[in-house]
Amino acid sequence: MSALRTGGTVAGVLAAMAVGRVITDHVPADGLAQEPFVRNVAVGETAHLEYGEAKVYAVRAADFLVGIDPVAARGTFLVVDLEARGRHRSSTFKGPQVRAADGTLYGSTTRGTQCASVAELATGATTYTRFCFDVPVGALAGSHLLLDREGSWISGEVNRTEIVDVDLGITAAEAKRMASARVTLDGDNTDDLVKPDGSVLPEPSGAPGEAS
Amino acid sequence: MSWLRRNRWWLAAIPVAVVLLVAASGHRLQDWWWNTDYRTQVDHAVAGEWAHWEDSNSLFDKGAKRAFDVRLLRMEPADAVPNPYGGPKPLPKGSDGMLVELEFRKPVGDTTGCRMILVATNGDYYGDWFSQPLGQETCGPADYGSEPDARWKATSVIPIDPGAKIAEVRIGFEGTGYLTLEPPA
Repeated sequence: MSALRTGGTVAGVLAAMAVGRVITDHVPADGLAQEPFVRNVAVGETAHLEYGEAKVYAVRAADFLVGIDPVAARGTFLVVDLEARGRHRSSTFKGPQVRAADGTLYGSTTRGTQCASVAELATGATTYTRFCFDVPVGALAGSHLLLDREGSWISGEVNRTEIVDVDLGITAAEAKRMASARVTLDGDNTDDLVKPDGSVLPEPSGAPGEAS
Repeated sequence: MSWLRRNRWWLAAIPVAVVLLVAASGHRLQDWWWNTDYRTQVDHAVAGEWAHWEDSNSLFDKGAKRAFDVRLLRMEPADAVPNPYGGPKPLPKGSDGMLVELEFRKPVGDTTGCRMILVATNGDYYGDWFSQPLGQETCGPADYGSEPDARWKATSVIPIDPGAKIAEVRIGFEGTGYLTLEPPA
């Protein structure tokens, strides 16, 4: 009887270990713990987030930006205008990135006068921010803008955070047209940033010395 | 002897193990939760009365004493933002404005980095921007000299959501301490 009980106990322990192994092998625990909540939107659509709202309202390409001197793009400048508003507490989008169709990530540049590195998600007020990315011409088509709070995307700390994935809606034909146009965006001209509805623009968001 | 009786010590150890498990990562609460908001009220005053701030946790000079008095002189709806470089600027579309006038006196030590926020009745914060709200200095003196002014006023208009009701004004720094100024009834 005692040997039977011991055998049963051993079998029970082995079965429990086997079940544990099956769980760790087949349940993506790491993924579940780390994957962000992705809000997919298109240009002109508002992403409603736990911590605010965000909408890309203009996407353009430019060969030159105006900085202290005219700034030439190594590839082409992909310029994205964003409006955002905070909820409950103010926060920021830091370290925005563009993901090309092949998965390559591009960080933003602040070489243009109005190109910010941070977008303010302010409570009580809608803010307007311009992000600029120097990307190869071939990266325009099918590209997406990735935004998340506090720059956790760029540091890899996206554990269960809510991020915005904006399909910039650039088709291959559109990319060709954008890349061939000779455009200089005049960052000093504030009218360039004023929205059609006449909204008053706050100071460009971003760390002092970077965005202005 | 029953199974429960044979394993009574292991069973007794389970709650202890759980407590140790939680405590082992509990320090993260300090950084990720406790330090991310205002937690400790340093002082409290009704409108017009002086509240006193005192601490010794200056960001750049650890241990240096930092102190001042502050009172709320005025809080009222406003439809434009003061602009020292020209006429008043209109508020952003979709925002109401709340004018807040504070008076400071008896500064000791480095009072730069002071922040003023408005707390709505539903707990929402306004004015807690990454940058200065609409470019305004909400708290410190407009002009920082080598010696701080003995007394100064700070007036700003904070954009708030339409219909938001402000319950209190909070003054704080980078830490968890704050003082509360009650708006006029």
